[in-house]
Amino acid sequence: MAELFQMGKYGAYVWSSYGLAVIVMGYVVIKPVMDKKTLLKDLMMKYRRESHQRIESHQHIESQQNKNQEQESL
Amino acid sequence: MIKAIMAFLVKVFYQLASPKHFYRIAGKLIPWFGWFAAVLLIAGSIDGLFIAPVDYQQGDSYRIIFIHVPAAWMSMFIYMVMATSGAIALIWKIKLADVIASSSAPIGAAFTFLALVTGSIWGKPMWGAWWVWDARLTSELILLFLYLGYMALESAIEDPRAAARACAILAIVGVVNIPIIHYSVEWWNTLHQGATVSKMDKPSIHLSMLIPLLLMAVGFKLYYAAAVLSRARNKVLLTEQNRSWVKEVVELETGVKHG
Repeated sequence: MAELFQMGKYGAYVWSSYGLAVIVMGYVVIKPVMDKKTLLKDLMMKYRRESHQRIESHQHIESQQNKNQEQESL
Repeated sequence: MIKAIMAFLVKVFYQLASPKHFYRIAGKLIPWFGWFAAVLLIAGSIDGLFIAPVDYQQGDSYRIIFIHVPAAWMSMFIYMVMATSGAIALIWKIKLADVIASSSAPIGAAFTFLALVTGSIWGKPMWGAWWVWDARLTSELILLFLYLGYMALESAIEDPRAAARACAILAIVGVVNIPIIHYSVEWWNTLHQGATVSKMDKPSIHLSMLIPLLLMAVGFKLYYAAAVLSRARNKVLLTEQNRSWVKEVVELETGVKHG
């Protein structure tokens, strides 16, 4: 069994090649998965901020309208 | 009949070219490509490492071929995909083609790097040198620089449309290098061994070695398909972030709703 992994006298060369392939190819597929997580989080925050701003500006307009109405009634 | 088929194909084409449909369809395809790639690559590696016979000249060192050659094929294949989609984007103004091109660049660079380094690791015991400045190695190194140049150019130009145009032109001009890589072993004297699989008459590689090589080659192609689609999906989300469908996707995938 150990002989099978020894690759004659070329073990270091063969295994480092396959090991490098695993590392490089692993990185290439894991990177977009990680990127997607951050992207979803960033977009979620952005949408949350925007919806808060919308509510705030809405409230702002409402309070302005109330003020106007109060002034008119005065 | 033909009209109906054409209408169907046009419909499929337009659906794929629309970012929203692309995102959905790519999401369904990625697991299929990914799992088939994993099965083929594991089977090919086991076959190549343990089952394929020892080479009578190179001993076990030749087993590097099952990574090296498919990676080198991919480095050229991905470059052609990148240049072709760049050209499609230039001619027909299809934004998605630019997305595919720019998503391909880092994957192509990774395969080129892998081909160069595994070649170097194989060259040391066989040629006695990590590196020689011969035509095949030099033109493959130029390919790596083309990929890196593409990525640098993309990040250097701020306007994304101008960047995509410049990158597409760079990719198209760089296609010149592809036949040089392929024929370099015929045109110049070289240490690098000649083609063994693509020869028209009969491949000069034994079937027991050809099978793992082809398993790895097809596995790498499917792997690239999964990788490029997942990168492209991210780019689509980023560029379309102000569209309502992206908001819906983000809400669905994070489970957080906004007013």
